[in-house]
Amino acid sequence: MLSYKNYAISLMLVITFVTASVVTTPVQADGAGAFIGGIAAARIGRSIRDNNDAQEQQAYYAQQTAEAAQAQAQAQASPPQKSVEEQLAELQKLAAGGYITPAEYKTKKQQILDTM
Amino acid sequence: MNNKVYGFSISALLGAMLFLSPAADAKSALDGSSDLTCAAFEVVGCTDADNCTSGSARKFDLPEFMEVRFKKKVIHITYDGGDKQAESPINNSEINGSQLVLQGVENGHGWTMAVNTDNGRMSIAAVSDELTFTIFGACKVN
Repeated sequence: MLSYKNYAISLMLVITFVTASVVTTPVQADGAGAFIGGIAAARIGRSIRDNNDAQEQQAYYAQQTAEAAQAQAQAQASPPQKSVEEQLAELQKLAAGGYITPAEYKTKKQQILDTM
Repeated sequence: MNNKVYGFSISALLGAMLFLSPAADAKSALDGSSDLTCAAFEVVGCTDADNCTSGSARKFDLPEFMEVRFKKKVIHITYDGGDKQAESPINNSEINGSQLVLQGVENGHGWTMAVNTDNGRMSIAAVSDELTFTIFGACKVN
């Protein structure tokens, strides 16, 4: 049979042990996943990657749009190319109307024919 | 006579333990003596120097509230409509100046949470080799 002294010492040891266990050991709930290093890190990391992908896609579309606009501007800046026949007909009209001399007509006609 | 002495000793011991326990220290409500409920407001996260994103906690799909449970030494959340729960174990906690500082390590991430014991302002910083993030918010006593 335990004496009162032994009983008291045993009780103190038990209380100390239980208290130390409660104070020093984190107690996670059953089935709980990780928070900061788990769900938070995963969702923040995913959001950063999604944002980066969206920025890259946006930059790609912006570049495509800029290139298309530049091509359109160049097309509008340069006049449409006339065919040789059209150029010769126009030149003949100028000569018939007396706007150019026969010599100029001959020179220009040769230049147009040389482009063929 | 002996019964009274030992009975008194046990009572004194239990009384001292209760007196010295955090729950009995009501010096400040935000000093770790009571569990806290914290709200996440804003988040800044980086995967490298040129690849950072910031925004509201909602933008990152983080839970609005988290509970700091000092007796269990965990930070506890519920998410996805309360169906799921997650926790981070607190490995170290101390008060330094007006800051209650909690620290832990989890899944390769080291984290520190600091709560201003005067006004409840809070931030959590977590790091790993490829991701760092900071959550800004505030805490109140449960």
